[in-house]
Amino acid sequence: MSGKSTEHSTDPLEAAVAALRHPAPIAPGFAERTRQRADHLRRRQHWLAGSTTLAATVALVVVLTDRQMVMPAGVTFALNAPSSTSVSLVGDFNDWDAEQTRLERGTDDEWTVTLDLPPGRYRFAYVTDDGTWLPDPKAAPTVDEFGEPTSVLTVPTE
Amino acid sequence: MTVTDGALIEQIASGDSSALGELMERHAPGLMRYATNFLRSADDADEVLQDTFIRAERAIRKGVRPDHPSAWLFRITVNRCRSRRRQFWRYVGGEAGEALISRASNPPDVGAAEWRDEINRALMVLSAPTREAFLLKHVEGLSYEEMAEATGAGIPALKMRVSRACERLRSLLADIR
Repeated sequence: MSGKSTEHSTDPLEAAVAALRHPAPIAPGFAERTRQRADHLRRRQHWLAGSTTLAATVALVVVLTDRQMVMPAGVTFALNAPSSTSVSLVGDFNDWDAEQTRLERGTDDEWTVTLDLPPGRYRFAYVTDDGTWLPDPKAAPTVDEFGEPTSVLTVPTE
Repeated sequence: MTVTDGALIEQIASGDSSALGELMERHAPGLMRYATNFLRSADDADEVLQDTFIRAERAIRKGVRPDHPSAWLFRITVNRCRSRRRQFWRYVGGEAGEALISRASNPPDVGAAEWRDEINRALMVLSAPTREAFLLKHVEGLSYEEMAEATGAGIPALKMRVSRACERLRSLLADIR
């Protein structure tokens, strides 16, 4: 079939292949947009690397001053990701450090982790093994400082 | 004299951004067509292709030197399409997803103007691995060896998927054409 397909063919499969072989338009400025996005991602990685250093400092302060902090019941984060080999949770509560909070794979390819979070509003996202950032499909959507989709969780006071 | 893909990749590794532009110009048309046909969304395909070249550039700068650059770029695109599809089904899953499958499985009688829509619906009836194999073989014209490199699947499995795809599509489209 390859190479002989025409849209006027009486064979519907050949006609379909001919239609599918039409060039797909590439939006103007594709190369420039790709370069800008690559630069944006590089800046984001630098920002995350910087925030990890900051996290170490902040964590020390919390250990010293947080003995009176109210710790409510755990919040369970869950993501269905059957093709992933690892999933991490990043957010305002762990300074967006993908190394800090790993989810565990359960039955039905559901990845979960439970955290004790004090009342407040948190932005968060999941990071899969290939580096893809995913918002939580069940949580309220928002965007981070870099325009990337993330999710919002509000832990209420008792 | 045409610069080879391998030479372009060496130039990218040394920080030549114009070489990346040349690699895009050379390979984007085929990759864009595959992603558009697979995802059925020009916007999603555009984003997938951006991801493809960003990841390719990052890998090249880390020392990756693919033996077959075209198949390697297809592999990245195929993986990004798979990932994008998983996100799609999370957001369009449930009743909406079932409705889409049902609609694609029961195409209405239509005129020639809607022929392309019917092709799209028929493609969506195929499983993702089957649709992937069909598009790579019959639309993009990859060899089975290149398809194996792009998808990670074995050649016998790919041949079976292509065969089943052709059979299923011919059956789905026969009553419409």
